[in-house]
Amino acid sequence: MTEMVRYAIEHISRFLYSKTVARSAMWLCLQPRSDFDQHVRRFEAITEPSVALSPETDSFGNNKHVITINFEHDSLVITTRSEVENINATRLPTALGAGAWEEIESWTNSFEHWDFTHESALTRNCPSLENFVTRYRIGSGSDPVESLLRLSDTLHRNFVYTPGATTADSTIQDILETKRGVCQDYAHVMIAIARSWGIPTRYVSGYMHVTGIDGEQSTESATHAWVECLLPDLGWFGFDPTNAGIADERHVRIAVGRDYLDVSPTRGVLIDGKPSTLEATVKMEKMFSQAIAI
Amino acid sequence: MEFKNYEIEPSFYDEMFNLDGSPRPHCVEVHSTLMELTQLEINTMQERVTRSFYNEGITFIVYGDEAAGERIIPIDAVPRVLANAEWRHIETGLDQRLRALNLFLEDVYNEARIIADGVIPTDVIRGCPQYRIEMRGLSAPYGAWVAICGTDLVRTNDGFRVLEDNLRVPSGVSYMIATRKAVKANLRNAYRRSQVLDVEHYGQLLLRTLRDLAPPGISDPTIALLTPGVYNSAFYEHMFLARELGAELVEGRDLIVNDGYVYMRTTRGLRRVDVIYRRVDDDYIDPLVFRPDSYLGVPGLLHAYRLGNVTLANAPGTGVADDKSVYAYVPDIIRYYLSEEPILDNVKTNLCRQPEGLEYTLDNLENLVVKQVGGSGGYGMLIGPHSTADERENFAKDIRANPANYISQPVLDLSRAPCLIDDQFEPRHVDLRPFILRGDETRIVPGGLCRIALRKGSLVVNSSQGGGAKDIWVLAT
Amino acid sequence: MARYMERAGYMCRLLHLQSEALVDRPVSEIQFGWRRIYTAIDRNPLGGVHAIGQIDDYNLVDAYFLTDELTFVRENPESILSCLERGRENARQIRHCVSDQMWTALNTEFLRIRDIKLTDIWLSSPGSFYAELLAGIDRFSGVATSTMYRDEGWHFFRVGQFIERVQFSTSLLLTQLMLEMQHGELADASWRSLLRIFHASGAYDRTYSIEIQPKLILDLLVTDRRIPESLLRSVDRTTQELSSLGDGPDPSTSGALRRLAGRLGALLRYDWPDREDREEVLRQVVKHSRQLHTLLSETYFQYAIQGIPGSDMR
Repeated sequence: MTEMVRYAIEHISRFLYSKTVARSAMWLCLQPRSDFDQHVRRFEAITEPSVALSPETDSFGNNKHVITINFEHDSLVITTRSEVENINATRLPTALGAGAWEEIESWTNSFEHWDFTHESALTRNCPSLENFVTRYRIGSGSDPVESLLRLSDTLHRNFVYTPGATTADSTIQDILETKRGVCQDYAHVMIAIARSWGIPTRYVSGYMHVTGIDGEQSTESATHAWVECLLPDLGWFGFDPTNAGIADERHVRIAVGRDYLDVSPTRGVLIDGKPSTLEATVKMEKMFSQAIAI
Repeated sequence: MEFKNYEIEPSFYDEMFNLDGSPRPHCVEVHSTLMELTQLEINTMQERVTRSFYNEGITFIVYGDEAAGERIIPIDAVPRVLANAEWRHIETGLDQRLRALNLFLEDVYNEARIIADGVIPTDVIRGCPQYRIEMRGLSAPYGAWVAICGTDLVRTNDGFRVLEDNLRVPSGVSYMIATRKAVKANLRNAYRRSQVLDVEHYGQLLLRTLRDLAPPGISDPTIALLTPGVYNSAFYEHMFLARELGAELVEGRDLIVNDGYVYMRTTRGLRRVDVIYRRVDDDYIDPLVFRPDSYLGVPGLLHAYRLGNVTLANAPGTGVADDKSVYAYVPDIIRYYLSEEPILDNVKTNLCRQPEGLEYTLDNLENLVVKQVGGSGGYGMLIGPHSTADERENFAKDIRANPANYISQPVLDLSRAPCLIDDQFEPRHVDLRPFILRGDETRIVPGGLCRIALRKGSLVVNSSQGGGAKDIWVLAT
Repeated sequence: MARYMERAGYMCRLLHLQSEALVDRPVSEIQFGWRRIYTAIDRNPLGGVHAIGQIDDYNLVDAYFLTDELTFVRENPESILSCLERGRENARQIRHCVSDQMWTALNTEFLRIRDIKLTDIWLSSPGSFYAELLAGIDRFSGVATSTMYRDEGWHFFRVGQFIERVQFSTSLLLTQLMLEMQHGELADASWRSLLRIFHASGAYDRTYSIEIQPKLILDLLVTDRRIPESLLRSVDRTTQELSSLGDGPDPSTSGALRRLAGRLGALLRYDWPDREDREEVLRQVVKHSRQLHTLLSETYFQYAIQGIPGSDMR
């Protein structure tokens, strides 16, 4: 028996511009993926000022939208509402069979997995990474799963989750030097190290349902980031270094990419405008859950 | 005017003369005309050709060196003549090559069969910064990722070889046409008697090609030429081609994307654009996807392209096929996709990314030309025989530090053609850049731009390195 | 492009007159000429003048330097070289809309002036230099008329030309009135040369007499539509070209543009004859013609996007 959960998620992004913007263009990466154990039942997005959202599928299969506002505006509010069903059907074995590393090695320089086995802009190798790996004796062990769990655990124990310590475009250098960062930074470090072992690893942007003190409502900041590693027999499997655990039915996946830059929830270009303040609020409600047989 | 002291050396193919000093059969007409003209007439002719470029304003300014003022590429008044059979050979070879390269591009951005089949190693493709993952899963109309191509050919005693494919935003075609106009006007009789094939209809062929590539359902496409602006050194060409095409010349700020379609500002309001001949590099074309600091591009353009609502010629990402490492595999690419033997040979290329290539390069630096994989315009290269021991040592260090960034080739004995240098005919090394168009068929004007290494003994023909240009006459029979 | 060429033409005419005056006219007249030029283009000589308001300020600076500054000095945006250079740069940007003959005419004049210095012409014959240059600029305007495709590019070309003509000639007339107010009655020669700048000398003599009567001269230059460069004619031609251009993306701004041009015409037709404060009328012409230029650009080029064809966006 396993559990099926349905969430209602509302994500509001408010951009306030310090100066009137003549025109702007933006991509949105806010529509959750329908794949694996996740099914999106409903998705809608509206903007204020109201413009059409033009959908596209990017090269990683993510559902993006592009909006272009070709008139003057002082603010932009994007509201998305999704209903997502998640099941957590896959259990992580404590170890993979013999020959797992060999199989992984065969993927390392393959065309298919190139993007997820090589450095990307925010996960580039740096001296701080080498020092970190040496100091905490992080290495690949006899089994990939065991190694990844240990890695995730090491990150969790040695980094202090500190909102505001880094910025959206921070590289791993920042968190490695200060040991402070947010989920995005945890994920980037895990990506850098797992890829150095040859394991195809990708960045996941999504939501996580956190049970508050009252036992029901989620906290305000439900956007989250973790990683997925490609493992023999298991396929892409989610690890959440911020929480020292694996991704389960609480994790709702929006998009996957090489790092944050591929899947940032919004990215915009302002024509004749000044940078803005962004205020984002997310509400994530568990509508129901039921046990299902599979 | 006599060809006094004109040197013909066996090691270099001379474009006009046989080894015994007699003109080659297809050059007899031009040769005898030049002989009949007096020194004064020749000088006047050269002066008129040069002046026509200034008068037409076919000039460029080297930014950073404004004090030097406006310049022109030195144009030599003596044409280089190609026999019809020579041209037919080149033409079929270029057509074959471009067909194969377009199939290659379609493949590497989709199934990548060529890699699965082990013809090209993954890292050659994926290690290339010009491989744009944003283009994966996309196709081009008629598979014409490269619609406009300028291929550099050289001739040695062994025949023609391809030195480089320019598949991104090749330039120089306006020089070809302006040179033809100027030279033809000054050698009228020789031109008529030689029966030279026309190149001045290039604009029509380009227009047909761009129309071929319109998005489905658009029978009368609106075409715009996207330029980085008047400060670009090729601005004259952009303007010239826009006029030939009857297309609007636009800068990024004149284009607007709305709901997945591209529009341009006109004095009557917005008008939808269907095909964009873009002369802006990939990196700058859409700040939403590529360099975010670009002011030359159009935010959302790639989205419109992805939806198939606008055609970009050339498509983004074609740089992966003219990368200098990939170049070495082009003969294999031709065999793989077309099951044909390459008609035009490559220059033998050693890839420093491969251990044996690296070793050979380092051992033979003084005999090789070493180029950076990403370099162009004749920059960042070492010409072994013309280098000092110090230069070689420094270069070797750079190569060892990043072998994948270098390739080496033998020093080519580029053919030479007579050029007017200080009122005398003197041989200078030349190459040849024909322009190939690909819509639903291949279109090539017979000829191209002949680039000249003006410094005596020099092998570097790039205009940014003091090269000149001359007209190419392809004979009708 | 048209504006710069038109301005270059005016500068050329003014300097041609100056170069002639230098030969045999009294110093006061020469000084008046310099003052008129600088006041009309609203600048001071680069060297500066000492006490603004005194007509003999220009004693302090040499005719040679003033001529150089107004002809060859790049730092002066109003110099003939600057005008030609900017006109050529403009033409280069829209070269695909400009006929080959226009380009050649423009480029030839530009190259003619770019490659020489004042010393090359000063001693021999500055007069014939300006005459040749002027002929070249006129040739440009002539080949434009005979070769340019009559699409909207042509109408924009003409509007630019006529607006510049309105602005420059108004500014010359205003200068004349201001100098008269400052210094009392002006010498006949200054009125005579004004007529020549407007190519109206012969017309004046025929219509009136050879006796100089400032009021009659002003009336002629402002309102006589038979003078090709009279103010009213230039305004009417502007109006005509604007109506040929038709509506821009937003019909209401195109309407405002045409109304403004109409108002300008009415000002000259109906206000000018009866008003005592003629400088004031001319000042209004200056103001309106500047607005006209701004509005033209807003109507056809810098407009806000109102709607996307084939969609119902806003």
